[in-house]
Amino acid sequence: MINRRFAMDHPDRCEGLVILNSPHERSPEAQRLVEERAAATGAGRPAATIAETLERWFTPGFRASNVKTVDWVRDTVLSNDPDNYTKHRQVLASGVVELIRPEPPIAQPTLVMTCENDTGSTPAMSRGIGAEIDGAEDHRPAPATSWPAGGAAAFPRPDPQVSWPYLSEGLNHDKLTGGQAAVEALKAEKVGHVFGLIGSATMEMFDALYDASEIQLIGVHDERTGTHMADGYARMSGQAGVVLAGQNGPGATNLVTGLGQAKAAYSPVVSIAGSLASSHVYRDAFQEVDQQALFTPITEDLDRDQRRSRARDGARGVPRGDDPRRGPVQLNLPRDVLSAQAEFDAFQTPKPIAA
Amino acid sequence: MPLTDAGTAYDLTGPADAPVLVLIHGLGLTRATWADFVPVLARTYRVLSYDLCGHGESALPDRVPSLTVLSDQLRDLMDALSIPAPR
Repeated sequence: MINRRFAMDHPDRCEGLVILNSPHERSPEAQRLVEERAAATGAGRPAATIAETLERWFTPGFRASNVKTVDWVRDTVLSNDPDNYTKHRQVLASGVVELIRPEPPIAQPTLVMTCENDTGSTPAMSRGIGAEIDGAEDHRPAPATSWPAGGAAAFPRPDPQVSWPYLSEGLNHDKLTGGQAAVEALKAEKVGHVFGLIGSATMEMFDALYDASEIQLIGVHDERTGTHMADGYARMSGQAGVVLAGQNGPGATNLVTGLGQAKAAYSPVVSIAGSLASSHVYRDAFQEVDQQALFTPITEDLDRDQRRSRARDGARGVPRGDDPRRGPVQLNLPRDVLSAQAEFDAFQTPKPIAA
Repeated sequence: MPLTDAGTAYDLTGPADAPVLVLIHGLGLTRATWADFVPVLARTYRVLSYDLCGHGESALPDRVPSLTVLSDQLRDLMDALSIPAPR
């Protein structure tokens, strides 16, 4: 909102705008509610509203997995001068009205973005902002649950001069997350294709695959089909077929039929699934399934890396080319292993698959 | 900590001849919001991040806050740092 006001007040001072998660015209009723909520911040502010604010800003999943970030936001908001905070909150609640249909319109090149699930600054609001800017175009990247046919390459990439870091709290750029290490290991094995269903349990790997131009992610609608595709790929190419499940539990059980088939056919499928955080095992945790027991009879090899420094090692089983019999390998990577960071030695040199 | 005469706390980093990119944080937060972004953006841009009036390390506003007060704060900051109008 401030940058829009700035562009309106001082158009000669700015060359372009990026407007992120910004509100726009609301129905009179919604506008009244927003202003009432800001006015009601009242005594004890901002402490009175911090819980509600955090719930509006962050999903439960984000809050659970980014405790430090959320704590920082809470502490920062609470450290505000209460009166100043309340006044600014009211400015941002009521000020949107003065930004609607500005005359003259904002003429700078502008990128307007928001998130599909942002209920306070909705996609419709962003389109409304854009519609009032000359020459606006409406782009809607597909949600991650329906990855486009072109895989990661189909998404617009940032300026190639800017290597976007994998953003997570406390990121140390000298280290890799378990997910990044696992993808580095796949790259070292010259894996060119990964069949996968995007999901939160293995999100660090999907994030790393986004940056791995050597590997094409082929999105599937279901791990079951992905496993068969990896099996077919392995049989026809003679190279390992890699499938990556999006979820532990049901995502992992979806792998079973395809791996059973691959086992019967001595097909070198490398199947990777997320699994419970190490501290949650055997605590009746969300989607808990004993994946070790589940895959034992239908795989040649099975690994559940407990230590983050070994996140890559399962992928060393990619070819199993020197084994007497080829067959599927299951790698269950716990949530905490994928997200934790560690320093890694040089990655492996691949061995060719025996004919 | 850099502070203008008007009491705006800011950080300015990146190549001196690069285009200036201004980062504005959200309500109740501070310029530290951008800490993860600045090192990356500063490879390409002259990155200016600052604390809004009365937020973080910036002084309280001397007027009743409004969007224009906040927009003027940014203009004054750019003036104080001699950031010229884009060519």
